[in-house]
Amino acid sequence: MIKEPSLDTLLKDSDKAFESLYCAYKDDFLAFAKTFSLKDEDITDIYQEAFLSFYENLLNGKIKEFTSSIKTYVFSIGKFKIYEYLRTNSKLKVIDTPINAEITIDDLSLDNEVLTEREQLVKTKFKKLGKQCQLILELFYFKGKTLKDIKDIENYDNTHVVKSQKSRCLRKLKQLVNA
Amino acid sequence: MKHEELIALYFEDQLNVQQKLEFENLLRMDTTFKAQFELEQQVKTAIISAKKDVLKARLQQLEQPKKSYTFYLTRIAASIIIALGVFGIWQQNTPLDNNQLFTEYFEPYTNIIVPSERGKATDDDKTEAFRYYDTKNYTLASEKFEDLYKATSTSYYLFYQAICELQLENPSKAILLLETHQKYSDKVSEHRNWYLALAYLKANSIEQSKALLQQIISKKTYKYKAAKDILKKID
Repeated sequence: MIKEPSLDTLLKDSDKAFESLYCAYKDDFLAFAKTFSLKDEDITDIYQEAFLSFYENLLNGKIKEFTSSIKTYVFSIGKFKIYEYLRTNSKLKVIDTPINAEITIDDLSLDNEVLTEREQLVKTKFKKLGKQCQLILELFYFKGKTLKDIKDIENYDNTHVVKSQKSRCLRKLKQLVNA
Repeated sequence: MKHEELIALYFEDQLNVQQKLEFENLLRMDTTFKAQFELEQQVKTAIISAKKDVLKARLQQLEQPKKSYTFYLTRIAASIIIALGVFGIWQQNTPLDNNQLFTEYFEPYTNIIVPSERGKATDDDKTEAFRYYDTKNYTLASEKFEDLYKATSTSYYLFYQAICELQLENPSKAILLLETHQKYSDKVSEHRNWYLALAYLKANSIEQSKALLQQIISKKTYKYKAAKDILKKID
């Protein structure tokens, strides 16, 4: 097994870290998933979805620390998705047993993402904000930084300036969404 | 405590017991507070979704098969068919609907060539072009990409220039650029067909758009699920 990155590294340098994890575990996952008689292309889709779900749960703060290896997380989520696929396609009545009793994925968000019309609109308009607004909102909502953290990271004079800037950005986004 | 601060504390996961009660009460009783909170939750969801899109594109890129000679022949054949389509069957649909559909699905592709680094000032033409692109200065970015393609023949400049032209409401020019890009294979080839399909849609070349969307779906390439959605809507 490869030396796995820390949670911080995964969040800071997600692209590279995920690429190497993705490549490192793919063959093992293929072998594991083939025991369920799935086609290669379906396995690849499920494998990607497992990584994206894992990433989403890191981003929304549902995974705050690792209680097992990343490989176990990805395989547990992958197995959940395989069972979901099999149930949907009525191929098998399955009784799930955990890959590793030390972790539970019951609290994670594992459904495939479907944005509401409004969320889709917010997403589109968010990309139309200026870079600085995007950065502040990302730091706050996505990286879970406090206003004080953002003041330190971005060298603002005080947290009031950050607060006003964040409010301005939200107001701007609201205007774009409601336009 | 101001409502804004209360919501901020919620997202910082720092509400104490009393603030939590106040927060829940406001959520039930105060529609303005509720609307503001919902907007901020939507922002969080939207940001996470955008981040996932970037990772998804990366993972899909890792799955791309090595390009073979047959692949290039297929590409050339596809280009000819599409080119014939462009001149032969220029089917008109309702312009407003197609443009609305385009707006719904179109998002400029991420700059994966020269990702901007905060605080790092590099002034070569390539960095400058992508800086314009990242800051949504599409007119200047388009001009720069055009010059860079002329000077270097590096194919991805065609792709990014086409995205600029789509932003600038010039679908015909975007189509020409993306069709030229079809003869190349580079790190954005995988994504080109999606944008070409959207450009056809914007230019009301419905048959060309459909053909390309079907190709994207059958090969399960970039945005194939969105391609399915569009196809359902225009069929």
